[in-house]
Amino acid sequence: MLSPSLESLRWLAVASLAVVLAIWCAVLVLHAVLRRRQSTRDASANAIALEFASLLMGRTAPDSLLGRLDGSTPEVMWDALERFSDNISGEEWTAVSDAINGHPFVLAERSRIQRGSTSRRALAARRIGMVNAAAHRGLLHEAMVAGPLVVRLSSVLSLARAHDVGALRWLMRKPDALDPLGKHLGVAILKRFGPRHRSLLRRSIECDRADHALEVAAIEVLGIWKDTRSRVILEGLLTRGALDARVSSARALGRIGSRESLRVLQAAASDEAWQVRAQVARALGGLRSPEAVPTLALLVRDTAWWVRRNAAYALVNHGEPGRAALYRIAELGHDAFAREMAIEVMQADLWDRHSPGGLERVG
Amino acid sequence: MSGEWVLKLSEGTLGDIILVYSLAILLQYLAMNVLAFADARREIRDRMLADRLSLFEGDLAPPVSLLVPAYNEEATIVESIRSLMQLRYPVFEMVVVNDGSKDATLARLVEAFGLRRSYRTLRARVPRERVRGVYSSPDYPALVVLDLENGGKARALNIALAFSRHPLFCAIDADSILERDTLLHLALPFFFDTRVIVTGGLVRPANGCVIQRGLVQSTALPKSHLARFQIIEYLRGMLAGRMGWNHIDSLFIVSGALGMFSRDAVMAVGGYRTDTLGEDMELVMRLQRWAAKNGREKAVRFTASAVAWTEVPETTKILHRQRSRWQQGLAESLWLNRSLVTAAHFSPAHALAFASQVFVELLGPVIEFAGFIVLLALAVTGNLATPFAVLYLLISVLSGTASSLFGLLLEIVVCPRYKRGRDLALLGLYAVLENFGYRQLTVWWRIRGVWNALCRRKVWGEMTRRGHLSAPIAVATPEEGKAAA
Repeated sequence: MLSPSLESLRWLAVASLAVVLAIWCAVLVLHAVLRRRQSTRDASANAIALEFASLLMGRTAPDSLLGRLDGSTPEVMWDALERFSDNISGEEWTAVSDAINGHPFVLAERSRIQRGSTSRRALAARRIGMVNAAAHRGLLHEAMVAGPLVVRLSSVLSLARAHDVGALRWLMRKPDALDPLGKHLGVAILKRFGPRHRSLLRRSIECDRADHALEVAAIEVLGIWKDTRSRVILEGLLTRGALDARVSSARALGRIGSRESLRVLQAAASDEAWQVRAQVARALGGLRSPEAVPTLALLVRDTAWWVRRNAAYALVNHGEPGRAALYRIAELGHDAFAREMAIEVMQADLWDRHSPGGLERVG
Repeated sequence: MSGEWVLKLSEGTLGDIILVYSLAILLQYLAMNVLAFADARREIRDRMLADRLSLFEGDLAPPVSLLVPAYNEEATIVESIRSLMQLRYPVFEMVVVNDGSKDATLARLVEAFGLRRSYRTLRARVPRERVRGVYSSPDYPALVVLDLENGGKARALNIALAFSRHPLFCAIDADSILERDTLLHLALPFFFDTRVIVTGGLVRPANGCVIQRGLVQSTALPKSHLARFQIIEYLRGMLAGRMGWNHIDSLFIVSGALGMFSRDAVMAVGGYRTDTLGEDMELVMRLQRWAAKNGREKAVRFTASAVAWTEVPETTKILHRQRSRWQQGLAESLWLNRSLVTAAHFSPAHALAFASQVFVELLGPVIEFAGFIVLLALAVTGNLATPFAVLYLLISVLSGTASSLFGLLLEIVVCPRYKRGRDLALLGLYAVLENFGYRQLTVWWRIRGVWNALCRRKVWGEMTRRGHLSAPIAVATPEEGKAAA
């Protein structure tokens, strides 16, 4: 079936050799070009980052900086800005932004956020978000509303960096806008908006269940910020919220650490979901109220490993009464699983006294 | 007379089958390379968009358990663990499993980290009688060492899973050196997409590299020819191949030396199987099946930014064992997951990937070997100047060389580590040379692996480490241990 002539095969062999040689040359050329480009780009970006620093110290005038930028490429400028803006204060960021705001590189990104491929629009949103100017916010808002998801995420992160309350309000009105991205990312975004707008987050979770990842993230963030004014709302969610909301509410109440939550937490210790009971145990450890000790001692006998574990470590937080409860479980308890857990935690506690810090890491 | 017989054979149906098969493999490699370049573009784009450092601040990063099974690793284990302590990641614990080592692996760990017997409860049911002891240290709170009866890597990992606490776990080989941001890169897809259940990274040969303080300080080619051939192979198979399949969401294999998994998903499918030598690939196939059944797309991801360096064999004896074992593992994994062929919830891309695993990776060596035998017979009988011989040689050498060179190109574009152009030129040369001897050897070893699978023979073999990590490493103080943890 396959019987080409030897003559045609000879040509095929020559062509194959040429292909192989071409790829080999491409390897070497590409390596040399990319390496050179990278080192040049790194050097230029560092130089421009130094110019930004000089501008902040008053050693360089804005016009001189713009002249320097004219002589570079957009990639170098954005690279430099990204490196530089990681370690500066809000005022410094505004000063650099004012200086470069009208530059053609920035204006080019403004037009790219509106048209182009999805990834290019997302990159443009990220880049103009690095320039702190009210003029860009409208564009970022439009991109956030229009999507798709990757552009929306990029725009939201940029707006969050500028603590834009309008963006936060829109997000909390449409908590499903970032749904596929999950709770962890939601927490990162909401934290970036800053604690100034915590009342907005509080209002957003004044609902029955808090089903969406962003609502759950709001609960977590309020806990991280120890927002005592949201305690009552969180207690309500711990009682009647969806599973994720109950878990996060228990954790948030633990972080807030108000003894007034003791009764609600004790009631939630019999929640049907082990995930909730596990967080309740941890939260009760944070309250440091002797009244929590009996509940925790009961939770050490729970059927779920995480609940037993969190409860046992929480007992240690209660000092001597907690340690005594653990000792009783280890010495006299009939539940083998609870006994084992108590022994593990008592040993960790003992080691922690000799070498402090360990319990905090594993507990 | 015999020469005519060989000629007839090569010009007949067998010759046609070999040529068509080889051509199909060439086309698949080329298609994979094209897809891999598309995936490289995506990866570079994602890297530009990822705001990883700020997103991974504080306690937002999902905590990770590092599971490190170790068998006879006394030469490298302490340095490996110290190198892991230097990883840049907010929260992680290390569960090291001494799988009944015959050497002083456990003693080295106990001595180096001041370990003491401790009490640890289990999160899942495992055969407790296999656990000889649990060790930890007040100075290194995130390090747990399990001493087990020897039972194989899969059992060791299952028991380690029962002792681990975090929602993600990363199974790595004890002799692997992870780059400082590797965990960060592996965890990032989990952070951005709740559908992800497995991420795999790139494993690269560490032979020849300068390693100090548990980190790869500079890369260079090893002196061993065998190791150089393997560098080419790793780039072709583990970089280009995986990026290609990743691009169409049909990745079935993640390296056992570097993979991050969702603990819940792995527990949902029953953990590692203990009746196969390819427990890592089998698990990924099972997870793909589970994900497809539950309508979770893009559940398995590959990222070339996550890199682990490992010592590859420099003797044919050990390499032979390793390759036979890998092929046997592949055969067993495909057999155990054969229901994938008829699974209605599988996408066409999945079906294509499964077919490729069967016809290219599993059976390809058999056809390739048949081609070499016919070619050899033609050469012996003085009939090398026939269309079959020339065409077969062309296809075979072209497919091997071109795909290897594409692998090198990808390396330069997506994860450049070799700084010197001379190294790349040499690797290019080895991409050609591997077609004359090395490739035939590996084909033979892979056939042996398939044969072992058919005979249900279990040959693990032992990898003798030269201890490439034994370069001077700063001794971590207890405080550093805690900080690293």
